[in-house]
Amino acid sequence: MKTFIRENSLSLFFASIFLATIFAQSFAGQHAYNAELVHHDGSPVSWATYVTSAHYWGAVMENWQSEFLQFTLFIGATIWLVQKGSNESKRLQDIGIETDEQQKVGAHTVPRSPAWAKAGGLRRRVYENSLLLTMTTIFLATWLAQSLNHWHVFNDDQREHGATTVSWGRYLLDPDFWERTLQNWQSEFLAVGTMAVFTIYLRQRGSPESKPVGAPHDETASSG
Amino acid sequence: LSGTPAGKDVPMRAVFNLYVVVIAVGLVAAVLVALTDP
Repeated sequence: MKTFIRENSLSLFFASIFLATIFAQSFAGQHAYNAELVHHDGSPVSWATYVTSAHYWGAVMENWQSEFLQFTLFIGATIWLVQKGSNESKRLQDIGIETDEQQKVGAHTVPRSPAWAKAGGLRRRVYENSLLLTMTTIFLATWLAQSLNHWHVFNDDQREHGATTVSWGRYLLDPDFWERTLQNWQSEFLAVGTMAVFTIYLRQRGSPESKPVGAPHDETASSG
Repeated sequence: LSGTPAGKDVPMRAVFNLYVVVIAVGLVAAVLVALTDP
């Protein structure tokens, strides 16, 4: 058990703080939602009602989609785009999908290579893009879920104010949907760009997200 | 993960599956709520 925790501490740490914060979000969200309801002469809802509401899941999905978009773009963009001196970039001479030898496929597999890497044809094509395909799928699915939940919330608000409700397709063109979407995207893009640039000149000893402390500023991809 | 000596990848597979399940549960819950919330 001790070995399991030590060998998987990074993913277990993030899973734990994820569960703690999504749970905390539900309580904070319930209180904020109830304050709004009372302000509009409505009755407060229970925690159970709130965590099964479109209001809660819209907020959760809104943030999920932007995080998965961030990594989707980062994975895809770093195949072809580089930043000299950055630890988040590959070396300048490695731009592109790289050779079979570098990627350990085809004639260059090793005995412990994954079975799908050893396979040829479509199976290998799928496997060599599986990370990007999966992250893209999760991004699109969470963005869809965000739109469906916020469409629901939007129409509730319309009804409450005696305005006409809108179709899902019409909601996708509404500023409400795009304001919620873009406010998340802009922060993710800034954070990713910042990581790419800050790792040129700044260091964190011991972190694989940083170059070694003594690595030259113009050395790219120092920690591999 | 196949190709790793038998049994050695079980803990890694467990955390991988944990994340897959968390994401899948969240997504399914979100879609169900959106489609059924009164």
